Amino acid sequence: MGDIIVGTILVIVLGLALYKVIKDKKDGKPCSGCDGCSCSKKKCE
Amino acid sequence: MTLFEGKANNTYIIKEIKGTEKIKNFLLTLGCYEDEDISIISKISDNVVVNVKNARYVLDKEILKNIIIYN
Amino acid sequence: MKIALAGNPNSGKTSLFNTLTGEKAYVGNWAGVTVSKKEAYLKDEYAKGEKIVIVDLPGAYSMSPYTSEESITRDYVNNENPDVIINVVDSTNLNRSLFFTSQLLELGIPMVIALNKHDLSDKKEITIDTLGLSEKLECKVVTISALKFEGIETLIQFAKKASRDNLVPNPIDMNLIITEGDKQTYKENDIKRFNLAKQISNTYEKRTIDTTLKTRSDKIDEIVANKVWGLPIFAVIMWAVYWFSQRGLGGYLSEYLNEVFFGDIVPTTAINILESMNVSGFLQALIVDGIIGGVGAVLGFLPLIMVLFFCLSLLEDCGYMARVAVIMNRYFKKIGLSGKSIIPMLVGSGCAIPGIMSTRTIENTTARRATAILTPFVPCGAKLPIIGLFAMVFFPTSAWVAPLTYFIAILVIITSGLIIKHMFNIDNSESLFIIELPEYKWPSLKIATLSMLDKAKAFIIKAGTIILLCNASVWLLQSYDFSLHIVENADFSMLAYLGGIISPLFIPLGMVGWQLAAASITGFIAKENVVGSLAVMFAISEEMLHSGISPLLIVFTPVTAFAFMCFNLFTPPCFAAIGAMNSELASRKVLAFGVGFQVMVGYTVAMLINQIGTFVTTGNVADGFVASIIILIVEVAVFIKVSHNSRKSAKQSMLATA
Repeated sequence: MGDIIVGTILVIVLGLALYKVIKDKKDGKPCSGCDGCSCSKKKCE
Repeated sequence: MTLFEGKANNTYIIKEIKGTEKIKNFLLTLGCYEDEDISIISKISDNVVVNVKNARYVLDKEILKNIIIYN
Repeated sequence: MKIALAGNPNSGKTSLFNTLTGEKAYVGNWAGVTVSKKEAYLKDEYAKGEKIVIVDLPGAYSMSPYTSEESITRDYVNNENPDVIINVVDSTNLNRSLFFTSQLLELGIPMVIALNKHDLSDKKEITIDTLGLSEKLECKVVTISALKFEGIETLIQFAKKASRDNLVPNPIDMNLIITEGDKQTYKENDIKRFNLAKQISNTYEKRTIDTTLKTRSDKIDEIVANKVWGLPIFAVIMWAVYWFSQRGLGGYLSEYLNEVFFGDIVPTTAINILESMNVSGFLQALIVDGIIGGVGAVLGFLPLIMVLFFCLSLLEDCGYMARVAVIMNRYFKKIGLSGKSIIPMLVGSGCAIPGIMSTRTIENTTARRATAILTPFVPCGAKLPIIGLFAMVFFPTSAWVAPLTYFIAILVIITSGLIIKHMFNIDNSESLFIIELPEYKWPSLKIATLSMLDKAKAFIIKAGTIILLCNASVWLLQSYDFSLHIVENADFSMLAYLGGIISPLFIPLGMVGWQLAAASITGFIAKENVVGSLAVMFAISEEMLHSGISPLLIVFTPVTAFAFMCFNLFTPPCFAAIGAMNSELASRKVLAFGVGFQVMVGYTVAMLINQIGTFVTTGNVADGFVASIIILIVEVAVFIKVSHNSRKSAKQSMLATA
């Protein structure tokens, strides 16, 4: 039982992480969480 | 006489700008051209801090030697 | 409505942009910081319900056809059709600023002039007759201070009005508009334009203080940018910054996080929870060893990074950077770079990506490209966990290890610079070096704190996404073999196989086993992963990676540890940084060279450290000694051959033309 709950949570968390990484790449951010870091471009190519 | 030979705390008048097109063009955009004032504020290392149109710039040796000033 | 901010470099456009939009766009106190346009929505408190976009254009002194900067502003105006332009003018420098202003007035777009930095001009006892100026230029002139949030509402109101009522100003002097002619004609025209600017500023501006007199900034510069003292002072300042972040406050907090929080509290709590839920051993291990262990190992270094960014922000904000460029120019010219090359490297000590992008301020193509290739050698924030980890485990009592890595980085940069210089026969004695010296100002603690928190947030998100995924993958890859069966011994896992393919290459470096190869590979996704991966592969719950009984002690000797650390520090940075290199170098060939060069440098440095270090400390020759000698000979031969060819050939080097 514990396995199923924890396992599901794990999959969701990892899935969200993967989703964010892919979304950030599509938005043109250099690395996740970068938010353009200190670079002045909106889209870092 | 070139700006390289100028002394600190003095204001000079530019006689001529020599050198490559790039140098001349850039200096022009800052306001460095014939008959304009240029003051030497201080000399640090091989560079010189100048005052042109109320702004401070550092020019290095090569550029200084290309700015001819009146004696 | 679209409002464009245009004006001279250093006039405070970006600060105004931040004030208007709430963005935290990077404001560095040297010209050339904004390298391409930035857009964001105007804050609602100023927009009052309207949807208004603010665009921050890169600073330009002129739009004259023969200058290199003319296109950016003009292209933008032609392509994007802003509804109104706000010309941000540094009110301490009206004379020069009016040159560009007069050109903007000829674009046929409604315009409002923002006289920025009025607090500074007040201090300098400069008074500007804004009403008279406004009449003369046929557009509203508003006194503002972007940093002090003064005059902003008025500015926006006037801008909205100008756009709505389409208040297009007339050019000041129609005779200045010329559509054809040669360079000489344009230049003469510009001189006329300067004279016009001078005339106007003489009429509407009153100064009591002579700008040719030495100011406090000038006096400070006499010491700080001094021929003799400049470099030592700079060295001390940088040493202090890195020391404070690695050993001082940053290091102290990191130690707590690593040892107590992630080392004890979190795993123990997690295990208790998981046990009570009867979770299987496998899943427990994945969560505790794989995820918490891996991500925790990286997150523990968060304080280090936060302190570093705080200090760097203070440094960049006060105006010292331009002086550093002046100091370094003398030395950098000798290795084929420009004095301005130091700025990307300083920025790169935070993160290589903005560092690489700021190489745009270097006019000379060769110097710019060489700088872009050399900047990643500076240890960036992501590499700090690697330095921190190895310093903690192998050199816990020495305070010099962390600063030493920066010192080695400097040596690597100088040597690499010289190598590149000779390989491509670069002669930089003709290169231009002009830099504007802004006045010193007290760095803003607020900006520094915001920058630090911003970076902390980015770091945590990065840890929770890329690093989390990587660590989970590493854990899974080392638990299963290719038939997707669980392995008892990780040596039979998928990861072991993949790592094993290239691990023979690492023997001369003193790296034994597939784990280190695998860890290094994950480092290309994000350098922090090296630490995370090592934690996942080596640490078992009770034996912490950073402890005195760290499993790393079995795998490394101090020498090989140092070599491994340097390998990861000097090989190409993360893929994101390579992407930045790609866009700045603008040439596949040069990019290939750059990345290849970085690989060789990282490899060779680690190899030398291992071979020489092992011999010196043990008296024995290390494994792969013969291979190292061969590799060295090949490298030297290639270097000599390429340098020779470059010298003989009259053509310009690849770095300039490719």
